[in-house]
Amino acid sequence: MTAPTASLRLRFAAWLTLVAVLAAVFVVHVRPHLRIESDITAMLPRTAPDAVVAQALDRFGVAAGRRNVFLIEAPDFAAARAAGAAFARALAHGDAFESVEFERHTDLVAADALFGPYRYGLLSARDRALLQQGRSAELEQDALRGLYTPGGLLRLRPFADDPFNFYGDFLAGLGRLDGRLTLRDGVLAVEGPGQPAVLVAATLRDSPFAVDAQRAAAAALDAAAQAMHAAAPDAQMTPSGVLGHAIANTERATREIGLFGSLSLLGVVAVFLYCYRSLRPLLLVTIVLGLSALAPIVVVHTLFGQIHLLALVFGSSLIGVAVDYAIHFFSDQFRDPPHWSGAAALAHVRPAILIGMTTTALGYLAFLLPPFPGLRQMAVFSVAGLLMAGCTVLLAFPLVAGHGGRPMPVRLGRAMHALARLRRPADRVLHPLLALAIVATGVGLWRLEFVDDVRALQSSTPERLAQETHVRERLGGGMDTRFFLVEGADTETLLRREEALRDRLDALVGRDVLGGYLALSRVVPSAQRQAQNRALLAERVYADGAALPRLLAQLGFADAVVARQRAAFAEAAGRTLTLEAWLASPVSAALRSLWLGDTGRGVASAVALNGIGDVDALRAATDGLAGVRLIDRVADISTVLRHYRHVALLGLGGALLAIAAVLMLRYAPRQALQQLIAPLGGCLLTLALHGWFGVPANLFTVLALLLVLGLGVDYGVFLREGGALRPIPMLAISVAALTTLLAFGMLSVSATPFIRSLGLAVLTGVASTWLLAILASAPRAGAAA
Amino acid sequence: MIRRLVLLVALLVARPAAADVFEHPADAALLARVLAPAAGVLKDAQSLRGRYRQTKQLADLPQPLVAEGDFLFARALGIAWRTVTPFPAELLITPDALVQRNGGAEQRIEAAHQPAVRAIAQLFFAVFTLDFDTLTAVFRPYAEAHVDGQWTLGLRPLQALGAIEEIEIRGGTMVADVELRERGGDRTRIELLATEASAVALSDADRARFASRP
Repeated sequence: MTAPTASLRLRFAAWLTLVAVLAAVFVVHVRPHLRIESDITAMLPRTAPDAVVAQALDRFGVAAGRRNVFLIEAPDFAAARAAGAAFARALAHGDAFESVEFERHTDLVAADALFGPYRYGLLSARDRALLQQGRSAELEQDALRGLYTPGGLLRLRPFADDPFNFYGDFLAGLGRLDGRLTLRDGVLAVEGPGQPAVLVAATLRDSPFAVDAQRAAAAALDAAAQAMHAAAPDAQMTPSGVLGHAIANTERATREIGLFGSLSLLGVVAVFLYCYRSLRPLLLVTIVLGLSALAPIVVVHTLFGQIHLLALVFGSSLIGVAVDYAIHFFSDQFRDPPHWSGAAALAHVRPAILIGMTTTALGYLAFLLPPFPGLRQMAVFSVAGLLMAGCTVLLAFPLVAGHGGRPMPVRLGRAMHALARLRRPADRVLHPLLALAIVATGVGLWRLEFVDDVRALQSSTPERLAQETHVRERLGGGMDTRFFLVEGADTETLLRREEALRDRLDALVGRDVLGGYLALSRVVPSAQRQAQNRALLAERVYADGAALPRLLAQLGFADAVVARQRAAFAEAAGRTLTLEAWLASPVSAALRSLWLGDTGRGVASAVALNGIGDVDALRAATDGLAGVRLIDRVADISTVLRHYRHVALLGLGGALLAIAAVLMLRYAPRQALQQLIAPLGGCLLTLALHGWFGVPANLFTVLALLLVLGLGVDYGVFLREGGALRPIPMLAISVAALTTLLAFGMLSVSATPFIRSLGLAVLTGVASTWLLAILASAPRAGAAA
Repeated sequence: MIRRLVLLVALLVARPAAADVFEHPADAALLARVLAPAAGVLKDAQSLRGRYRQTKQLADLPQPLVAEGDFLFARALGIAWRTVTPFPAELLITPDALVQRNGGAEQRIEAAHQPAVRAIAQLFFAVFTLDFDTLTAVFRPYAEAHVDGQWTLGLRPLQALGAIEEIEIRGGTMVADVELRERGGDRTRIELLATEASAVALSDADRARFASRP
């Protein structure tokens, strides 16, 4: 007795060391730096062609993600303005937001201060075209019309300083606002149907996906909303931006973790109390569950530096899988209740648990295959939890499980014996049934539809989406998620490349293929373009007998006035507006996010687009342009999803072949085929059911099937190996299947679409595998019980 | 020569008197009281029509630039501003766009793309209808009532509005003239002459003037 006990103690000591190490790492390393990430796009693959582009895209995405727009509506403009002012003041008070913009007093004055000295190098597209085409007569006519009709009333400079209003046209092109926005009483206001509304824009200090930043921002928003209501009781605020979605997703995920976790736990408690009728197994399984939550957190946080919220949601289903080994272990007592002991159980269930642990871990490892960071976290999380659960059962349980067991509860025993007594029907009944099943599966598979569109996999709450739609409608549109990325070795090259691109984009805008775009080079032309503009003005406008002397003379201005204008033009010859000067000015605030800065091989910028009518035309616009590419993350990710769905389907086929090969080695061909029915049929049936119910399948469905193989491949093997003791493996796999169904059943109602896809496929897959395993292993009618 | 001198003296004398209005800041109540003679007529008007004369005085240019023509203001449609001399031209000011018509060609600037266009449209509508809400949202108002039912309204932009420094509007039962003074010394005076208000809807022919031509 001493030797086995010593070995059991050794096992226990090893387990205790492992737990101590985990606890120490958790307390010292993980707990103080715990960072929970909630960015749903972090679950998706990176699609950038190289690291430089990836970094630039991240910067653009981060800047865009931190921007928020709040629409404040009230019965009259004065109330809306007062509400907006109170809201903005309160929001700026805390430090969740880096900047809050409401009043824009200085726009024109600041713009004039920045651009004024360089105005002779700045031309609007239309004026430039007219000058290039030598149509100065039209410019002169326009100038005269401006003098004699109210159309020319709003000038920025006195007439003689800029008679053709070149500078005014350039600045007007910059002041272009989207949709229904207008500047009223110093604030951005929204016109059109509906109540008067004003806009407050705010930039977060931190990422909207960092859970801590979300808390601070939510508190600041609450305070600001209160201040707003105090100022104008009838005012209403509608948020728009990533933050709102991120907060809603975090709340939802947190709720799901709590709900799924506690329901799983309740299920486990019920199963254990009913099956084993003793407190010791319950206590021990609680320890298993606690540790299989701790271990993954430590491992994932150490490997990835943070934990994704969705990995936690997925992990909350782990309870249903991790509990399996404890079930196998304690079910062993029904074999021989009076003489049962932990040591005896170890000897008996160790192979089954090791096989089960390996196949399931392999199933989860399939998640490592696609380059989706979130999916990899889920795989590592699950594998770490499973290994911890298996280790605890194999190392700690034998010593502490005690001696002597209880018999199987009578009713449960009866049910298991009934299942075990199932007999295969006679061939004349079986064959039509099989044919029918095969046809039904075939029809389901034929109706199966794969949808790889990433938009079908993302979600937000209906409330948030309604708010987003409301703001979008009031503002009359917004920027597209697609944009051009422009790179250059230096700023000048970059701006020149943008200008080449813009020539083509302007043509597309003219053909109504594109609504419009925002680009840095429209605000800050390249030095080359500024020099060209100046040369154009020198030749066509300021030269002797050119447009300016002609027009001013015609109006009756004295020669001295003309001479003064020409002197001012000549004096500004050496001045060039630089991007640095623009970036340093408050004028750049609204467009600064287009500047992506240094990339390691030069500089990069984004050209934002709206109203895209024809993507192919946009793609074609980059033909032959160096350093310009269209970034379409939605399409890129959808392509990657489709690609990896194909890879995963091949992987699934490969896994089935491998299983078939292993079965062939162990069993006679006919028996091997019989064993293959459960895993193969389970997969096909799951896909067929998706087809029958019109639920589109995707990459995550296929990955779930790989997991189903990992969870269910041993069902048939256990039943077969159990032999005469059929009710006991029957009980073990049934209870294991039940807890798995419970866990993944809950995931199938998750609000996050791809977790729902995983949950649904595992639910149907495990249920059908379990059923097929029992049916396929049923002995022929007339065989001995 | 003498007559010119007299005119000059008269102008010099008249100017400080006219500028006086900016010594009388107004609130909504005062505005309503001072502008009462015009507000009653304008409130019910469906349309206003009349002739105009625009006199632009540019800094550095001795002689003023004068344009004449007629106008039609139609509530909800906009303003059709037709120049007859020195050259024929038509400008449509609608809430959504500024449309310039010269001969057959039409040049359209959408307000959605140009805050300046919107500002001009708002300003013209507000001035024609003496819409206090809009005026006080963009300008700090000044007002002065004269004995004979005439009044002067002064407006200073709350924030930069092009080069406009101040606007002075004079009238009685109707707006009689509007003067815009710009930074740099350019001044534009628009006199509205023989303005008729009508409470009945526009004729089809008038309505057609506002229709965009392809």
